[in-house]
Amino acid sequence: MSTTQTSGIGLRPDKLVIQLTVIAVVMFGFGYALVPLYEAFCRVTGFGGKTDVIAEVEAQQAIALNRDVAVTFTSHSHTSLPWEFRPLTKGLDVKVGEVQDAYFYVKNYSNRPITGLSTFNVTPPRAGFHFKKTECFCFTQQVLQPGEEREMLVRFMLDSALPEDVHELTLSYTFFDNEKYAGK
Amino acid sequence: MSETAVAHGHDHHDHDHKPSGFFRRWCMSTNHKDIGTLYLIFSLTMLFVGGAMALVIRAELWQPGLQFVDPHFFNQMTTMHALIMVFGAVMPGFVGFANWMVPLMVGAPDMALPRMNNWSFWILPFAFTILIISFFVPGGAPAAGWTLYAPLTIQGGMSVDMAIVAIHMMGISSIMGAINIIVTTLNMRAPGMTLMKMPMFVWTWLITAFLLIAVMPVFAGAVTMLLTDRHFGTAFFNPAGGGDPVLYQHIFWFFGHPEVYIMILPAFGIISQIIPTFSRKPLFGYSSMVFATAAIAFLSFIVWAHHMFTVGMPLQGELFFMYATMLISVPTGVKLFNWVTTMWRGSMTFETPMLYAIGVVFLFTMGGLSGLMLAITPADFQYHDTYFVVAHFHYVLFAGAVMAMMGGAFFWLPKWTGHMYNETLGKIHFWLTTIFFNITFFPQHFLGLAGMPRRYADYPLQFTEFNQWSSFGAFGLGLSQLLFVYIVVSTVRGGKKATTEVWDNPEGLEWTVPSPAPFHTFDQPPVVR
Repeated sequence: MSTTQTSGIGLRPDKLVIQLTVIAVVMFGFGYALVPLYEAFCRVTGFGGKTDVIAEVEAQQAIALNRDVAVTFTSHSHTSLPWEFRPLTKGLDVKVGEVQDAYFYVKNYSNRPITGLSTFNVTPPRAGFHFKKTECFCFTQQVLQPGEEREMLVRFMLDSALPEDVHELTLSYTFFDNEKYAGK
Repeated sequence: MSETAVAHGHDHHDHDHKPSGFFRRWCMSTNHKDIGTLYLIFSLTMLFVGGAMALVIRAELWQPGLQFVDPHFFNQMTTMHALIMVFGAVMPGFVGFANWMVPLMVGAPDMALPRMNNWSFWILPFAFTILIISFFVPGGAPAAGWTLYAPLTIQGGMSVDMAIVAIHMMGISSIMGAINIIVTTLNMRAPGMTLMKMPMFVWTWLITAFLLIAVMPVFAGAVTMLLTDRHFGTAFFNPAGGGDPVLYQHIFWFFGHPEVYIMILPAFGIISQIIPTFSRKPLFGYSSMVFATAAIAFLSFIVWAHHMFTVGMPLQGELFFMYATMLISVPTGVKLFNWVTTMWRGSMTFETPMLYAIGVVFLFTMGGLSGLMLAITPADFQYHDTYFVVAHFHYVLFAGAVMAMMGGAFFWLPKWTGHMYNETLGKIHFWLTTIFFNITFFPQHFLGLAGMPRRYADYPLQFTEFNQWSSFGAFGLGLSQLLFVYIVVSTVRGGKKATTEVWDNPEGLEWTVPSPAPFHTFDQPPVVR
C-alpha cells in the first residue's frame, strides 16, 4: 500500500525518515562523545576530586604562603592485585604554595611480573583542582617483577586559590591489576 | 495525495479483506491494527512474566531471613523484573496504543512505514527470548540491577552480554517505532488537521518519539562501551585501565531520565483523551497541555544527575540538579490542574476508563510529590536506594503508566473488538487494582523512611509488618490482573454490540469509524474542519 503524504508540514516522508535516522546515529555518537566531554568537564572544574598537573618550573616559582594545610596520604591495593602498597609519608603539614614530596612503597608478593596502574582521588573533591602535581606515578603502567619492591614519589603543591575553609585534605591512591590492558 | 486516493479506489469493495492464514495474517502483517494488537498482547504477556518475578521478590520478603530463594537469585529477580517491565511491558504497550490509535486519530490509512512496523514488532519477541534464556546460562541472569552499573557488570557472567544484545535489539525496535510514529504524525494527517488540532494522545506520542530517538541510541552506546570493556580491552568504566565508573552512571541516566518520561507521557496522552469524554467537556487548556508536554520533555535532558546525588558531586552540581528537577513539577502541575479543571462542572459519569483516569490523576500526583521529596538533595541522602524510592517509582510507573494503559484498554476495547466489556467486572477490576496497589506500595514509603534499603533478600526484624502488608497486597494485585485478562478475552469473544461512537458524543476521528474498526480505515482521507 502506498501511503504518501496527505497533509502535514510538507516534508517528503523518505527525507524525514533519513533525517530521523541521522539524529539516531548522531545520538549514538553523542553517547561516546560524553566520554571526552566528561573528562574535559572534570579537568576544568576539578569535579570528582580530579587533580591538576603543572610543570616543575612553574611550581618552584610559586610563592609559599603562611597557611598550613594537613595533607594525609592513604593507599590501597585492589583485591585482585597481590601487591603491598602503602604510604611511607603518612601525612604532611603543607604550606600553600610550597612544593613537597611524598613517598609510597609498593612490593609485588607474587611469583610473576605484574603490570599495575594506580588511580587517585582527593577529598574534599573541591580541593582536587588546587592540588597540583609535578611528578606522579599514577595513570602510568608500573611493571613489578616477582618480589620487586619500589619507592615511588609524588611531588606536589597546593595552589593559592585553595578554598579558605579547607584545612585538611586526603590524597588517596588505589593500585589496580592492569594485566588486561598491558602493552596498550 | 489525490493520486493515492484514486489508486486505492479500485479495491474498495474488499475493504475488510484480511490476509488468510495465521502466519500471513500475524507474522507478515503490515496492518497497523494487527501490529498494534500484537504489541498489546506482547505487553500483557510481559506484564505477567515480570509480575511473576515481582511475586517471587514479595514472597521472599514476606518475613525476615531467607525462605524461598538465595540472595543471588533474588537479585536476578529484581533486575529482570525491572528490565522486563520497563522494556517489555510499558514501552511496547504504549507503542501498541500508538499503532492502533495514531493513524485512526489523525485520519491516516496506516502507519507511514508499514513494513518497518512489522520489523519493529517482530524484533521484540526475539530480544526477550534472549533476555529470558539468560536465566539458564552459567551464573544465571543479570543480577546487577536494571541500571547495569559498571564496574559490577564488567565482572558478570555471559548473561550480561545477552542482556546487552537484547537491549540493542529493543533499542532498534523502539527507534524504528518512534521514526514510524513521527513520520505518520507529520506527513499523514488528514487535510485540515493542523498540528494544534491533533488529539493530545498524538501530541504526547510525537514528543515521546523524539525523546526515544534522542536517548535510546545513547543507552545503546553505554551498553556497547560495557561490552567492549568486558571483551575488547577498552577501559571506559574500569578503573583498572584508567576508566571512570561514575561516567557510566552519567551516561546511563542521561538516557534513563528521559526514559521515565517516555514511559509516562503517552499515559498523560491517554488520560487527556479519557477525562474530556466522560466529563463531556473539551480538554481544558489544550495548548498549555501541548507546551507543558514539550517543556517536560526538554527538562528531562537536564536533570539526570538527581539519580546520583550520593556519588560525591560538588555542591553547585547538586544545587543545579535539585532546582532543575523541582522545575519539572511546574509543567506537570499545569497538566494535573488542567485535568482537574476539565472535570470541574462537567457532567461526569464514572465508567471504568474514567475511574482509571481519576485513579491515575490521584495516584500519579502522590508519586510526583514523593518525587519532589527525593529531589531535595539533602533529603535524598537519606532516601537514596531505599524502599522510599521503590514506592515512588511504582506510584508513577504502575499507578501512572500501567493503570493509564488499563484505562485506555477499557476506553478503546469496544472500538477494537466491536463489543462492550462487562462494566461491572471492569469496575471491580479497577477497585481491586487500586486497593491492592496501595496496600502493596504505600507501606514501602514507611519502610524506606525507616531505612530499609532496596535490592536485599533479607531485612531486620522491625520491618516485618510493613513488608507483610506489601507482600499481601502484591499477591492480591497480581491475582486481580487475571480478571483483566478474563474481561479482555470475553470482550473479544462477544458481548453487547458497540456503536460507532461507543461513548456519549466523544470527540475524535477514531469514533467516526465503525466498531470494530474495519481492517482498512480512511482509504479516503476524512476532512477535518
